[in-house]
Amino acid sequence: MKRISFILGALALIAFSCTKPLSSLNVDPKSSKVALGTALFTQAEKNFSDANSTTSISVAPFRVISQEWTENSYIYEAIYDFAVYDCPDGWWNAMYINVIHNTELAKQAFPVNFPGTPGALRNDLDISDLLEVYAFGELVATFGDIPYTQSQNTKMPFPKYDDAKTVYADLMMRIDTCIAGLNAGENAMGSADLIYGGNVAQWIKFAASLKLRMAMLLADVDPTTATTKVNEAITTGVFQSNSDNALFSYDPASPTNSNPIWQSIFYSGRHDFVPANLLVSTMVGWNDPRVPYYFTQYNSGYSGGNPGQGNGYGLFSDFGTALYTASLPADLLDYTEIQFYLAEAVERGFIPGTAATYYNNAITASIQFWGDNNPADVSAYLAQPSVNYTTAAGTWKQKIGYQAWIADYNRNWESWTLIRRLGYPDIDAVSPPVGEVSNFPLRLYYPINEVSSNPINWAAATKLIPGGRDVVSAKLFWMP
Amino acid sequence: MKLIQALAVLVCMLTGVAANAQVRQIRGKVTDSLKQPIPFTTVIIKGSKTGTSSDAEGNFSIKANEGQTLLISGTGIAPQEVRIGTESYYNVQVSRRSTNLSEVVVTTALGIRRSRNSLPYAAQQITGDDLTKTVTTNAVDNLSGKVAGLEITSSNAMGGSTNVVLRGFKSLTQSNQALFIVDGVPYDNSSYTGSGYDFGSAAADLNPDDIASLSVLKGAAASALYGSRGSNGVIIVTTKRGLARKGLGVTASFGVSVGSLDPSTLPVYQTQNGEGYGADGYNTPNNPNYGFYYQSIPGINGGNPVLIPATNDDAATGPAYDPKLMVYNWDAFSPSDPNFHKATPWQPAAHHNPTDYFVTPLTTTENILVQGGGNAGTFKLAYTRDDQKGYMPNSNIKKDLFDFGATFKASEKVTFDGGINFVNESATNRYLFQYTATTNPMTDFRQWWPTNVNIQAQKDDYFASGETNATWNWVPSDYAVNTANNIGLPAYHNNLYWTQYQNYENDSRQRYTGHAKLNVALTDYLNLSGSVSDDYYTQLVEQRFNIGSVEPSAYSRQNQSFNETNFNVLLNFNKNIGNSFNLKALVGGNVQKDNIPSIFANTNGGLILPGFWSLSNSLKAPNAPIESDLRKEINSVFGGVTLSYKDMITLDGTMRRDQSSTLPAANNTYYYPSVSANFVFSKLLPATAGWISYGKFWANYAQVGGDAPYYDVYNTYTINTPINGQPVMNGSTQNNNQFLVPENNKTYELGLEMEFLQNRVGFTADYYHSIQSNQILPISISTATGYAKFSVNGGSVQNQGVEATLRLTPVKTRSFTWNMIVNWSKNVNKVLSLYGGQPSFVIGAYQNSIQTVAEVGKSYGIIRGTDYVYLHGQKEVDSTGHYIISPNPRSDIGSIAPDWIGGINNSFTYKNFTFSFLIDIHQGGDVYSLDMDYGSFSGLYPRTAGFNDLRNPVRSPLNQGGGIILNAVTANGKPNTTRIDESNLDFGAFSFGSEGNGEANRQFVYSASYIKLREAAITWSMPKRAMEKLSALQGIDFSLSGRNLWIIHKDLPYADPEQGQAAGNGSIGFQNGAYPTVRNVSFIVKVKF
Repeated sequence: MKRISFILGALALIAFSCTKPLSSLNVDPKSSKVALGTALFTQAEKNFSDANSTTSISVAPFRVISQEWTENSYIYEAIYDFAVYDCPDGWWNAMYINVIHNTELAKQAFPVNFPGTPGALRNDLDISDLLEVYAFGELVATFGDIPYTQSQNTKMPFPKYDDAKTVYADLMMRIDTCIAGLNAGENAMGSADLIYGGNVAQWIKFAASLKLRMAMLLADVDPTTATTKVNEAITTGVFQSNSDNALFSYDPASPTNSNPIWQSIFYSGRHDFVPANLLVSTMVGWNDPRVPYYFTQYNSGYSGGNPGQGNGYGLFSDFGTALYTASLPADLLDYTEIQFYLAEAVERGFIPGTAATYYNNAITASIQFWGDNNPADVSAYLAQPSVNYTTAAGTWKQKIGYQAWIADYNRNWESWTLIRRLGYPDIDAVSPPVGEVSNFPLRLYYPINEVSSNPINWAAATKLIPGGRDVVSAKLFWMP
Repeated sequence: MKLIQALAVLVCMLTGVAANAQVRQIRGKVTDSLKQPIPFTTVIIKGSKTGTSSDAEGNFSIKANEGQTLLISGTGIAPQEVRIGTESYYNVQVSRRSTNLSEVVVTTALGIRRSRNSLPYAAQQITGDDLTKTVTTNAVDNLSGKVAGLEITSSNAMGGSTNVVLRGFKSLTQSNQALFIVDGVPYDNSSYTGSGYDFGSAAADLNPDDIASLSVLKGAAASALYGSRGSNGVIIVTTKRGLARKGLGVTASFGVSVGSLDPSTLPVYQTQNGEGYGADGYNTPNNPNYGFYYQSIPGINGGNPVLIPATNDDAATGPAYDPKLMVYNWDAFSPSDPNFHKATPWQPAAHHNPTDYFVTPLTTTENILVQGGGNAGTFKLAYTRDDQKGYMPNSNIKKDLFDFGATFKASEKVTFDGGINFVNESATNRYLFQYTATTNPMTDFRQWWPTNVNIQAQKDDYFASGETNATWNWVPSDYAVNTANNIGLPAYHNNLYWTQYQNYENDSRQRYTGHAKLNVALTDYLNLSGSVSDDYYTQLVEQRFNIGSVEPSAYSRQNQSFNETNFNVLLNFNKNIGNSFNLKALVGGNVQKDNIPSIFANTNGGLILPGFWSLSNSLKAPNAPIESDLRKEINSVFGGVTLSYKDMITLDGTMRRDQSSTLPAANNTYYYPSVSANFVFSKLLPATAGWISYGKFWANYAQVGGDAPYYDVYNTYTINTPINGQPVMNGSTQNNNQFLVPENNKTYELGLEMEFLQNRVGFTADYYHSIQSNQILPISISTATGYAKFSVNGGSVQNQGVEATLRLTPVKTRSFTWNMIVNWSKNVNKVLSLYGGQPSFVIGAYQNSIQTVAEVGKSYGIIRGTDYVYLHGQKEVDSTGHYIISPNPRSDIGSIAPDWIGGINNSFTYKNFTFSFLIDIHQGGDVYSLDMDYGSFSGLYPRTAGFNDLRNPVRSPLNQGGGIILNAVTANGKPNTTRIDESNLDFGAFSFGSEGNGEANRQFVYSASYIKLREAAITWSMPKRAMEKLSALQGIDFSLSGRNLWIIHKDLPYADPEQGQAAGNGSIGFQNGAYPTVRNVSFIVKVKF
């Protein structure tokens, strides 16, 4: 009996004594509790590039809306039906969770045991903030009022929405703070930065260019602010050539790190898209030298699919080889775009100068960017009456609009915003999709996750939308 | 009255006789025909009030005289009389009655067996025989309809998972599954649904033939001693034991089951229109037939253009069929097809229906059980082999189960008890449960399918082409280039045979469960036991996409293991105090340690060589494997006291204290008190109230705590694949919480159990009320926070309900008995509050923007989607005649909660034949069918075609008399008279489905109600007389049975409403790619030696 009691006693002892403190079991041994600021930043940079490059209609259907591309069999976004694949949720999450969340965490991580100088730390923080401002800028220009002051706060699971105009003004101010804080004489994150390799001088140019871009969004509703900010940006120094372009380097060593377009149109094995007819016929009609870079031939010519109708892959032109390249960099902000803004700023009287010069610079830069470095091709193109700034059809908005739209072939969100800003190409008039469920969308409605998971604040924000309904036809704060 | 007088006379006579004889101590043991002890039977001296009951091992002792008769009775056995002779020891063999009356004894928490008289909570016991009437590879499936309050939702997939939910959903996001305890060992019942496959529930590893009994503890008071895991109810499984007997007892059985698919759960297609999305081919010059491509293909028609259906489209909204029209269908571009480069009439294919794809499912099961033993110990050894062939081509599961159990009596006071079970399972091609157009054949068949595709020809092409991906879904760029040696990739859909034979999944699992227990009777009233148990399994899942598939070629494997170890110490006290009182007490401790490590590795960027399944066969350097390592430990102490008075009144109190590692250290301890009482009031009734044979009332209250999911306390970071040599990390998307406190569930329960007319009629009914508060939930929050989820204590859910079981024996004669059991339960659940005063949050987010949400004031699981605008209760149309969709993007359109569930069991015994059947009823609750929504959009179903009120085809253009008038009202409340065009999807004219200009999601919400003939069985046992001639045999039973034979009623078209998307909370209420229901007919032979 003693022996038995001993066995039982020993058993109990083993059971209770071999136990480590329980709290030590509460830490996931396979997820890190600490982070590397630079690794979080690189992730944010990649995620921002992905969101702005992806062809995924559940995240960024913008190139389909703006008829750079169109859909083949599954035709929803092409007719402005965003409910099937929930792209408002996708775009919102891509920015708030994938980009801003990580830049915020990076900003928290950098100061912990920072190995460099205070100036280098400041550079890292400001570069992260610039990326974050860019992301917020795209959000607010997509949805209107958005959570801002209460966003990214672990204690505020149900953030209220802030007035879009106020948010926008604060974002512009943050750019100024970054420009003031960035110090080209100090180090920055180095190779962790896959856009400029930690070159602070480039980031200052980027900040100025972003400021110019964001100022131009206000051109219609607040020309005074826009004029001031545009001129400040020029003084700081915006992009001077294609070599200043903010290009994010993808890595073909792994599909997840390859350009998302390649993932979508090649690696996935799917055939969801073809170039849109409006773009193909416009460019072919104007003998655009970028045509062979943008498209492949079909039946020894070029043709594009019709938005809203079923399009058979293999019965139209396909995308050019650049888009089938896994290492194609993401183009986040470029000299072409800046030059179009300057042309526009001249027309609006914000700055002195000749609009045609900037217009020509922009088109030239775009053609060169796509790989045609033959000056004769550029001059022949610009000399055509349909392209030449003085003879091209329509108002300056139409001239710049069409050309910027062509240049925006791979700019996704930007191509949609350009059309919303200038009204050209006038999709509703020249190429309304067959069976469209609304007119050309001016905004995205709020994510359906907000409807059920942040219902009180969603309802309050919806009330403030012109018309009181959360719809794509409501005008945003920057629309006249 | 006369009867009572007669009885009184008889009693007087008998007692008179007794008075003359010599009184002595008689001992004995009550067993069944298999020598299994029958505990707690009533043993009375016939005609007297003197009586006793047998103990847990069937032993009894009573003072009686020679010549008297002992009457042994009990609710689960046929009454047996034994005449006292000169011997002092009697082995009383009784026959178990077909189990239509509740068992006298129920196994309760910690394996303690309690008589019905001392059971102060709701529990229901089922015998193993009830579970093996039909051939099954998952015993749990066969519980459906047999227990009041138990809702079993089983998947129609081969080896698919089973939801086991007692008394409704309590937790909003964590598991609601009942806890399984097998021979005292917690038995994992996780469902695995990795990568969209349903790997089944782990309880399927239980050997159905080795189950002796199964008891279901429904409420918190019954299960409080199991801690938080028991809060969803507990199912205690007792396996068969060895027994002391002469020689070996051998039982062998063989079963075979053949299935057929229930046609009411398969889609039916319209056959008027073929492949296409409206007017494909609009751009082709001189096209005489919009909807077809008009292309010049070298080698066809002398290079002149020909009509080709839009083979890249996966819908049936294309051109109307016309057998006079010759077209180059998909098969004209399939090099190994007899129709290669040939035109064929434009008509539905001969074999376009999914029934042509499925094969006959077949299951065989063989089982042998050996039982033996002597004075010193007993053992049992069982082996079962299952071979299951699924109804999808090339799908199967093979399973070997070994069970060994033994007891050893070291001395009168010391016994050892141990057992080990081993299961080896391997499967090929589990069924997919997710939206994948390329790999899940059911989403093809129900959502994206053109009826001009011949499935037989697809099969022939796959094999004739040397097993290539000879699809129907050609991209137009393939038309000119396809040759026998080089065919293009499909647009979106692989050949379904390619999917099953080249992109196959396989998995295997080895599971060991074992326990060792030492029991010491310290005194005759004090018992000490200690045990160690372990549940361990390891599984491997491999998945493939061969080169030639639409999707990137890949090979992946996941190795996972599960280990749960429990250490238990238990001290039991059991003593009679005086003649009337009995005191039982227990105190014990438990340490539970869980560890679930897994590693998942995948090739990267495609495969180098086709059909070579190794991680090294990776085109690009593989990414780091994904690791996970879940660990948890719970330390517990518990105790309980039971005081009973004359087997009539029982008072029970228990207390448990848990400390769990998953909670923050400051708040990781919680308590579970419970008190219960029961009162067998029939004991107080005068014997003259003979029509009441039994009556009991009980009441209890319990509080149960709960811990957090793994690693919900600290926020962490994930390291991803480096890009251009740079490390990348991202923050977690769930915001964890260092201030979590334990969950709390308070329940009370009231019950009544009565038997009438000598147990011919009886019922058990109970009411329960529970409030689960402080629930730990990863709630969906605004993603503007940077997080998708936030782990909080939030949410309080109330469940209240009634469960009732009615037992009837309408007919009982010497040779014929009709027994009937009716189970019925109704659970009403209500979300009382949610974290932060929020009105709602999302539980499940699905395809097509469908959500299931928890909404304050409503039942758990409201389905949200788009709805119509209604005017005076009727749908409203706009000026174009189309429905107006409500501006609220997420309207409440249904609820997953059923109104009530029930089962009706009937069994008829005539001599050696027994015929039984079970009707299973599920009333209320809704299900949204993505299948019907997408399938309507793609024009598959008859509702999208047919003829309109003008007797013209609905899909004809308006100017040819086509189109429909929606049954709705206009803005002024007048009936709608505007006819809308349904002729061309591309022009936004097609109004079916919720996509584009169509219907609301509400249209595709159906009642989940059903009435099913779940089981029917005929059993024949060889008569005793015949058996005696065959001395080697002790018994032989034959049974012929059927399962899921007939869905008597349902609302959901073409599918089984019971079919969810997968296992767990999220699956109910949303149907996508539903698998058809299998009607199984099985034949079983059981032989006892």
